[in-house]
Amino acid sequence: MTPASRNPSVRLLQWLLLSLVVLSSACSRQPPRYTGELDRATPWDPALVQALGETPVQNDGRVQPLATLAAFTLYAVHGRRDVQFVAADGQGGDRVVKLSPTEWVLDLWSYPRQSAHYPMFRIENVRVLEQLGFSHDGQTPNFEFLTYAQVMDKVDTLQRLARDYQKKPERLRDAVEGQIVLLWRQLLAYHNLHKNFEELQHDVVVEGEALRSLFDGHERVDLAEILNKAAAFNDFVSKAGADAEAKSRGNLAQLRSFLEAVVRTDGGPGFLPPTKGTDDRSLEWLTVSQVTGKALAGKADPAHVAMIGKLRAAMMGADLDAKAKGWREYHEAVTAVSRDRADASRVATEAYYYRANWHFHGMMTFLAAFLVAVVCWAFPKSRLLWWGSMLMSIGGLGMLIADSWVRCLVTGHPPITRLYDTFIFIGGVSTLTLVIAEFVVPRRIALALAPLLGCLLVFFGRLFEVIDGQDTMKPLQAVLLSNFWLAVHVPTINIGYAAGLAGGIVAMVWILMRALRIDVPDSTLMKSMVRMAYGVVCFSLATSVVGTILGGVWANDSWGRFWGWDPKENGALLICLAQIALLHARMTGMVRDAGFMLVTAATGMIVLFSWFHVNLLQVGLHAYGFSPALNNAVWTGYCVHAGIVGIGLFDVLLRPNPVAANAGERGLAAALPQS
Amino acid sequence: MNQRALTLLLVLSPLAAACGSGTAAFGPAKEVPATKRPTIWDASARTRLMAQDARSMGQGGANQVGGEQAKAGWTGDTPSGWRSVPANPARFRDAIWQIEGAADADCYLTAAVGGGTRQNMARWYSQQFDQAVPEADTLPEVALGGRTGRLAEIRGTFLGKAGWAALIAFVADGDQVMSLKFTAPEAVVVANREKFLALAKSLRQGGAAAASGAGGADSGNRVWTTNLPAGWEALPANPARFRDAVWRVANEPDTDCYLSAAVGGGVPMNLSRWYEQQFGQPVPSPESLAVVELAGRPARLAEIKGTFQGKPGWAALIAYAAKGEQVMSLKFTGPEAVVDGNREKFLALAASLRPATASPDPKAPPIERGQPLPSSHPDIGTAHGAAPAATGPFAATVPAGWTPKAGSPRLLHHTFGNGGEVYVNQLGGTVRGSLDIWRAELALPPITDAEFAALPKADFLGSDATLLELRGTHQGGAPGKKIEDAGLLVAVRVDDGTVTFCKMFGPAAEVADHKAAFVSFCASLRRNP
Amino acid sequence: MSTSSAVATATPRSVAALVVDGLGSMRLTVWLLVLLALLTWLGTLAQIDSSTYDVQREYFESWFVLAKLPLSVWGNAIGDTPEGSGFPLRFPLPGAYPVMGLLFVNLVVGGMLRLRWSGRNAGVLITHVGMLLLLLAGFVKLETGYSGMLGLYERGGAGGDRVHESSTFVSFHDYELALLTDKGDTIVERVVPAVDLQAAHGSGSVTLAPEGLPFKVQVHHWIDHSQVVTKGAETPATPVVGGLYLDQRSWRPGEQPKKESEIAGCYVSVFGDGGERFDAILWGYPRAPENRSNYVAAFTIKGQRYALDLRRTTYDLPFAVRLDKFEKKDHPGTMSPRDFRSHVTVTEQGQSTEAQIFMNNPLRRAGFVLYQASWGQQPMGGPPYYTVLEVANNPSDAWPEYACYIIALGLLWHFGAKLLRFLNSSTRTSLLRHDA
Repeated sequence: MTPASRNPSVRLLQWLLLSLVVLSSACSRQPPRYTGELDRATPWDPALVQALGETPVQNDGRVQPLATLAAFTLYAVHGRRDVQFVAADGQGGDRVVKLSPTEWVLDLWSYPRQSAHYPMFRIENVRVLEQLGFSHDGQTPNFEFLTYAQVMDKVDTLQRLARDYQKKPERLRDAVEGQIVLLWRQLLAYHNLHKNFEELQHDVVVEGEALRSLFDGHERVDLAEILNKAAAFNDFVSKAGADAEAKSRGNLAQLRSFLEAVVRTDGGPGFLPPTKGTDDRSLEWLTVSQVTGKALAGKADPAHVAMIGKLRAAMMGADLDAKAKGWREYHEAVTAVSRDRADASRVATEAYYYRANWHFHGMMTFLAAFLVAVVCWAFPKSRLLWWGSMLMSIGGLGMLIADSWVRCLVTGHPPITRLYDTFIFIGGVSTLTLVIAEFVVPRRIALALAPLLGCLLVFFGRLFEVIDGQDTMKPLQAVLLSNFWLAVHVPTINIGYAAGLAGGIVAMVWILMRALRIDVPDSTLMKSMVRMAYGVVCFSLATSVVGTILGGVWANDSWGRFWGWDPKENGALLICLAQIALLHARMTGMVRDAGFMLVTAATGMIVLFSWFHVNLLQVGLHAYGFSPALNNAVWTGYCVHAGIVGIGLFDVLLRPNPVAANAGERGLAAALPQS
Repeated sequence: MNQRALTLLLVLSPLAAACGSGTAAFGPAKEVPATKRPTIWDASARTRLMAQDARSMGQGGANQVGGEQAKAGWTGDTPSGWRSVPANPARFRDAIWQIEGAADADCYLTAAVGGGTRQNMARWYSQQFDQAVPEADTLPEVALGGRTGRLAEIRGTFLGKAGWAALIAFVADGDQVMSLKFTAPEAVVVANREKFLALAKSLRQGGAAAASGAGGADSGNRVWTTNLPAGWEALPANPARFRDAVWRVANEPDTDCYLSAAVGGGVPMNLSRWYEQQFGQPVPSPESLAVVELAGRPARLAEIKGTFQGKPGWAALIAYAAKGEQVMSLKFTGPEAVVDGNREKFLALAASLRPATASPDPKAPPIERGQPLPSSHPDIGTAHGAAPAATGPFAATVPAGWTPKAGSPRLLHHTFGNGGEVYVNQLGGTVRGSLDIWRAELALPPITDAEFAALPKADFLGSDATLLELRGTHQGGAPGKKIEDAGLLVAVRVDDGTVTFCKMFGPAAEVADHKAAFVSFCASLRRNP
Repeated sequence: MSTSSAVATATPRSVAALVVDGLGSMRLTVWLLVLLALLTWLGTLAQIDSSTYDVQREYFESWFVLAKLPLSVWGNAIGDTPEGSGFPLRFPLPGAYPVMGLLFVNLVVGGMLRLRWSGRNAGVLITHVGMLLLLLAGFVKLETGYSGMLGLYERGGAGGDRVHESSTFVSFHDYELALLTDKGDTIVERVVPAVDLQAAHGSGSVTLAPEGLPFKVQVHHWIDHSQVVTKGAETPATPVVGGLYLDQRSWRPGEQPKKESEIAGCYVSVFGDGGERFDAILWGYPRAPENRSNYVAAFTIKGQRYALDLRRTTYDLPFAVRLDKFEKKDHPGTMSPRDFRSHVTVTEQGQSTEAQIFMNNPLRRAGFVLYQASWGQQPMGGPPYYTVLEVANNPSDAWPEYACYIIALGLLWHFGAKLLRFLNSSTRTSLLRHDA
């Protein structure tokens, strides 16, 4: 064995590199193929995509950039941040097409036939395909993407199955049943957006000279043109009267039933901003259907009719240029109206938020800081590396703070209002806790763990955002609308969670170091880790207890009882109880170092339960929702935790007080600080 | 040692808890002002306890529109001059009626739509009629499917049509609103107002009616007709309360006469209810009662006088006939003098009672291909099996080799060969406009005048219909669903003010094979009486 | 004889001292905390299958519980599933009453009395005081607090017998049987809480003898979740009174049984001293706020009119609350409420004041706290809406807040001092010696 290969830090680096290679090859698999010719051969103009992405629309109770609507619909439908496929490049070769969410919705509306063949719906289980009646040639791929057209072909079967399975409580569905229900919901989310402008996507035949003369003799008209000529049309309708057989009416009845169908299709995002009441944040933005209703009553705002005309051109333009021109003009028309609107005032900030993507940069900075810290283990004397890693961690923290700050500007609320926010916040606070711990006990362990935990939590947050597929800035329910309590109780309790997780990860590393004979419990490094964990647990306990009681005080203030044994309250209480018990047990000597670290690691599981799992139980006032993917994530977390605690327990029982057999080979950590 | 103390305490604590319960006694007397405890002392037990009929309980909670119930199909007693047409739940139309001779009129039931009363009223009033939205509370009450709802009456310009009106009976359960909406030119609405209200009242769920008619072979959804005696009036029926037809003596609001087509329990139970429970009298032997005629069958007549549910000087005439456990009864109660004076009329009514022909029963079809529901829409139930051909508006001789398609929203829907389909349906608009729609399905341009004039004719519903034969790539269904080299054969004509057509499509070769069958099928097509 | 005296001399300390030792022991603290944590965890998981209210009663307001062990692997329940497959896994645990009671004693004895009162322990002592206050607040609330609801329609918004103003509120869950004596302008009321009538379930009965009145009341055939049915051809298991009988009400398919939504019903038989007899069904359906008046089962004995009424436990307020206006705003284009608030007028002894009650802004007055709890529509839907205020009387209302400040101070003191000591200690130096 060469000295280099025996050096534990080099081995660790090799291992890290290997896993990176495996990970990146797993991520870079060939995207699915688009069969057939693409109607749109050239990409959308990037400047247009950005401008349209920043166009305000009203959706789910708030005005947001179109890009936000597009992104979260895509997450909900596709479970990814972009659409990727391989298509023929027209010269006999292949090319990879990658669409951003905004490009995808543009295709959805301007090229509906093409986008119906994009690989959208991920099927992870071949039995789902079987149940839906797809032939799959005996292949059993891990997953496969179905197109909208393919799913629509089996929509009867899908709806029937989904309806049957939905009758079962969610947590009792098996994997196939769960996926079929999920597929049905994904299909509806796709369908709703896809069909949003359906009425603008085809023409209506006009019959009869008199009727045609209304529309300059055209034999076919579209909705935009009817709305343009609404006054003349209404006049014609009232003159036609009830004379059912009049020749002069042409196919008036057909036109009217078309319009009635348009008016009846209600709902969907508001694409047309109100032209009055610029200060009123509670006004509803209009849909094409609503403007049609107003037009038939002779009350439509010409500005809205004009916008519908632009949308029509964007959908039905003869080629990409004509469509792009329609979109650009629609963007300009909406922006001109919404510029002065109070409800649209934060759209630009939100567009900046998603463009700047501070938490992503923070995550990458943490990753770099972690790698530097690992290198630092190999060169323990280097102050430069220590400070380099430390400054990078602090820089990453700064980015997370910037991220939260911009978010607060957009929502107008304190940093944590939804489950998604907790990832960023807890990621930041747990990093900060370990950074401080490294300053208190500078043994380079917390130096590496701080950015690692931060990086992981932001990564999981981004994963959650996509899996959940719901706007993370959705307006709050009335009960939560108290900025004072949102700013006081919520961060306090989440600091408790963060510190609990930070303590847990220190304890888990300690357990692994003991079990893998990297160091003996009596070494100063291991002792210092116990000290560190102890301090973090104390900090976690203080914030958890105060945060939990504050939650009760808020509950008492808001709905009249201090404590209701609601799952979320119970979860917070569990953390407090576990940590109080742990500290008292340590005082009485019921647990010593090993026991203390085992329980601290197990407390990480309780944090997971309290922070996350209770939200998935579908009970109580804080109930959130259930998703098989989130359930899997939580249980994976439990398994990792339980596995490490189990290893530690086994190790402690078998080897109550290990002593290194050979003082010369005391392993990585013991070697590091001393060399 | 502390473990011992702990155990001791744990054992003792439940004992302490058990000692806590004392004996029951009223607490101390407390005097409060009567105004602080508004009290109704003399209400009848029935009012006080909001008693329910045993039968209506079977359907779960009494007042629930949304959820499970919305999934069952709805039916109502179609008024004369109206007709029921296939429903379209995907468009929130769970049952649809049209009025003969008024093609513009439109009446449909939406069993459950979200948005609550406020949003729906805003849509009706402000969006469709451009009028101010009144408070729901100020609207008159109306019976809607066994519940009490509100009636919106709107007149004005409806979607650009001046001189129109709408009648909307609606009832809400939280966010879910059930509504029966009738729009037409004002004159038509005024003329049909009573019929609309009767329809609203008679609405019931297909599933519910079937359940409540348990075992009653004679009940079903039958509508009963009779020769109304002079001086009597008919009232809306309420089958959910065992009142399958209701009458009373005009100007005598205390009188009540109703038909229960089928009640379980057999004769002894029912006699016991009438005599003992309602009049507090001994039950006579059925053989001692007079024989009368009820709905063409021999029946017994119970004549009871005395105190009826606390009202002295009342009388009841009950004609009943039993078939096994099921008892059909016509019951007439009122003040003794009035009942005596109307005895002959009651007997004539009983004798003249006949079940009317079954009304069409629109079953809720499944969602149409290519039209999933909007996500806000509640789940819609499956079809309750294919409607037998005889219950639809049309009937025809079905050629050999055609298979009825179950659960189709279309009429006389059949499949043949390998993917061929044929069905009858109705549309608004003109013949020529419809032809263009079908041509568009095969990506063909609108028909020219010369082509239109040259189209052949076929025998269809007893008259000449235009026959259109096309070949091409069929893309009518969902995106991606296409039939290469498809054949399309349509016979279409205006029948009774509506474009009525029979359409066959499938692989071109098979359509050609079945063309003769298609022509004979069209020739045999007739309206059901 | 000799052995027992030997034992007695060998343990000179009295049993009392041992008990005090045990009660104050920190090991007891740890085990009690673990027990409470176990109870909390199981009580959380139990809420997947039962309502929070039921679980509260079963696990946290009890002396003893047969806890359900919900075995689940990867989120899939095994064993006792709602479908009834598998087998019930249950094991006994003490309820939260004994655990928290012992914890309280343990805290007083071990955490206060026997703890050395030194500067070093000041933070711990302060924290323990806060914890005691918190537990005490819970105890006081449980013993003396009561709460209920008050539903009010907008004044002038809806006619009929609807409640616009009220100075009484009723319990969310609990029933009481009231005996009313009609005195014209006043009503003399005697009540007995439903928990005392447990024996009237099934075939049992409870006989009550109101003091000074010439009759006895027998309560029988109590049904927790009931409805009144017109007797048809069927043969009911309960007596028929006036053509009606009380029937067990079933939950709709798929509906989760909830104790809190139950509507109790019972039969009463009044036996007059002079041989009079009166039978009635009582049904506890809450009519307010649709109907101001209560329907009661009245009977007359010796010329005096009495009535029996099964109702939600009724409390009186020292003031009257009137709803002037109810406001509900949604987030635009959605049904998700952004704000709902009640504009009320409170009248006490002729003095009227106006107030607004909305989320996070309750009204506190005369020891009562009125919260915006919910709202409702007309029976057929739509405005005018009614508001539902939760009314709570809790003497320890503000204690948890004070406890919170005390605990925060104590923990800050304790851990802060510990951290400072550590930073300056030789322990830290020794832990860092390799980096020097």
